[in-house]
Amino acid sequence: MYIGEKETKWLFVTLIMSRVFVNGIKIFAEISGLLGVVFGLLCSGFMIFYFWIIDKIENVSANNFFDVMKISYGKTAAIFIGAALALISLFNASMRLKMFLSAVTDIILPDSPEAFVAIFFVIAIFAVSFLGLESLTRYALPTGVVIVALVLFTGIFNLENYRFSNIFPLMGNGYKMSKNVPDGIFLFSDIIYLYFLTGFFKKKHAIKRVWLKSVVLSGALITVVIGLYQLAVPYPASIGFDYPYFRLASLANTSVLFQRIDAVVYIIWLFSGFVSTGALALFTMIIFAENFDMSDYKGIIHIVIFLIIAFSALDKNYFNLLSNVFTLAVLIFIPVTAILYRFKALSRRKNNEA
Amino acid sequence: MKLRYIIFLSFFLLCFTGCYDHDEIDSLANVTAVGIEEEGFTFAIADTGSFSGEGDKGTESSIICIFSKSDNIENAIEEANSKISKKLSFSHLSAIIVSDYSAKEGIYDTVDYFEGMPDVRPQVLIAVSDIKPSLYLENLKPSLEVNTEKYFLSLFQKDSSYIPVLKMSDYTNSVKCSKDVIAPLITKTFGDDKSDGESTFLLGAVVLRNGKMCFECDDMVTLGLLNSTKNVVLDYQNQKYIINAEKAPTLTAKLNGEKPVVNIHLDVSNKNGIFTDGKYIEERIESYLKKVSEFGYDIFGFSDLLKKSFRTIQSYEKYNWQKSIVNCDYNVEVKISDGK
Repeated sequence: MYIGEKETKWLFVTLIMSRVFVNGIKIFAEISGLLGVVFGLLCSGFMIFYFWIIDKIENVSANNFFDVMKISYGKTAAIFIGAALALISLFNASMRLKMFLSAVTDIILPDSPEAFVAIFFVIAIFAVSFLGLESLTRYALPTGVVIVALVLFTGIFNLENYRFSNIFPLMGNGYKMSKNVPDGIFLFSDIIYLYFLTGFFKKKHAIKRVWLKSVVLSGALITVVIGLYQLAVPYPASIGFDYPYFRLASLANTSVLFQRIDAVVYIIWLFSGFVSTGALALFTMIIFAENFDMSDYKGIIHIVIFLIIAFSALDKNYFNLLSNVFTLAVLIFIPVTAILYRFKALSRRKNNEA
Repeated sequence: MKLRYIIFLSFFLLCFTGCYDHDEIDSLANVTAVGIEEEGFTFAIADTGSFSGEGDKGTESSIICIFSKSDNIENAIEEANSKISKKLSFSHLSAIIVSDYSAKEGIYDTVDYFEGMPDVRPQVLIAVSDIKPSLYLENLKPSLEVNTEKYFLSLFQKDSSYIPVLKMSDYTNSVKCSKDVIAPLITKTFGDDKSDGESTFLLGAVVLRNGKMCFECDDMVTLGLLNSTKNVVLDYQNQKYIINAEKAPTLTAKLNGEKPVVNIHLDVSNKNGIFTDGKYIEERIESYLKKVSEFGYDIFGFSDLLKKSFRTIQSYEKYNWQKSIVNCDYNVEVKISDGK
């Protein structure tokens, strides 16, 4: 069963934007000024550059990444590394679940316990896991389009709140940029999962186009959202909100009809949360199944869900730390694998020629 | 295949997440205005039972006021909830009326509490009252606009006449950004007449710095011309003229050494074509701006213009605008047209 390029592109846009809707753009607001907006572009540019570099080292995107790992590290080591990747992915899914549980109980259902909200996320993960990647990507296409429309409408309905003086001084808190570089790049980190989905594309080179389009599209959306937020909320008030996008949405007051755009944001954001948490759980199962050459991952759905829920009970501060460490580890791991693969492939060729 | 459909349908279950802590609409008391004064808080609840007409044109509207003697808003809400049969809901809150005493003491904690409530909109208006808000709200009986939420919005956001407006979001931003903002200063007449119940009078405006009232602005002409394109009434040689700025004034600010210089170009429209003394308006605006800046207040946000002269926030903060504004120079240029 293959997945479509267009659908997968929107799935990754949804994954990246779901973090932006919660608190993702706070780091850009901290830099403030026009530099904060430019920083958004630089981070998406880095992710494109990152992919280009790996592809230059070796065309790993054209092969199934798990086969690449086996050649690079040997079969036994590859299994252990694959298991570690599945574990990292498991933590990542737990982190996403925790992020949404906290946000939902903070702003939508302040009187309800997290466990109650978690039930609905479990249903979402179950549904996504049973429906499979193909159905998920199909579902993500309209979700992604609605997200674009939401950003567009939030921008239009906030017209009266924009103050161009908010982007001055142009360099903002320039020195904070260096501190925020990792966080800015990590915002796009979900795109790395594309490497593990290589086997699901009909054309093996599709990952290149999906990667490029997803990063460009989500980068453009993030830059627009940062720009709108900076224009509507002055610094340093802009860094005082835990959920910047909600602030932006609640400021919209164009007419009686559109004065409660924040309610629309709740719904779309909630659905992007269900899709992204479900997707990360599904990716974890796929990584696990591919790594251990399992024909079907359905047998481990309940275990994965149990572990995701269990890990999500961890403290929020641990999560931030773990999130950065894990993302950095995976970001380094992929080029290292590519370099090793190149050397191994070269030596194999030489041996064959000899 | 059936299983897939069941799973797909179970997605719709996700829509029911909001049912956990739902409140039925008939169990809520909709607060449309909150009064803050030294002794406590007043909650003006819309008496929905009194809406006897259709839409906005009901015959009578009444507000039920609940006074809560408390020193903080959280306790006051709790106390008010215990007094009435319904639960206070703030999703229709449209105005916060503050006594001048409380405004001088500072209302940031209370406003910040409302700002943190997801159902309260940042567009809630803040006004300072020279009479006690409890007295103001108890005697308010809007007859032209039965929807009390809409009454406050229409009152402070008129399309024609200028009234200073302070939104809750602007107030909290001003405290966080150490900026000055202005709020309307209102009062009310008392009597049995229907017009007494309906009317609210604008006395002027007050400056709030760090969330506290610190200065009273008396020149509504300057405020109106520089802040809006709405009508202001100008008293000139015992005559009253209605003038307005044709468009937002062109403002530029630069540094002359350490000294800030603000240039203002204003096109003033005079609808009946009688008033022609542009020089008078120039001098009036210039002297008022000088007077306000001598006290160190920046009520027109000139500091925002000056930010362009700095590269980073650190260099702007080092400059210390609040100290420099005292020496600020103003060049005002006014062009009068007949508005045709």
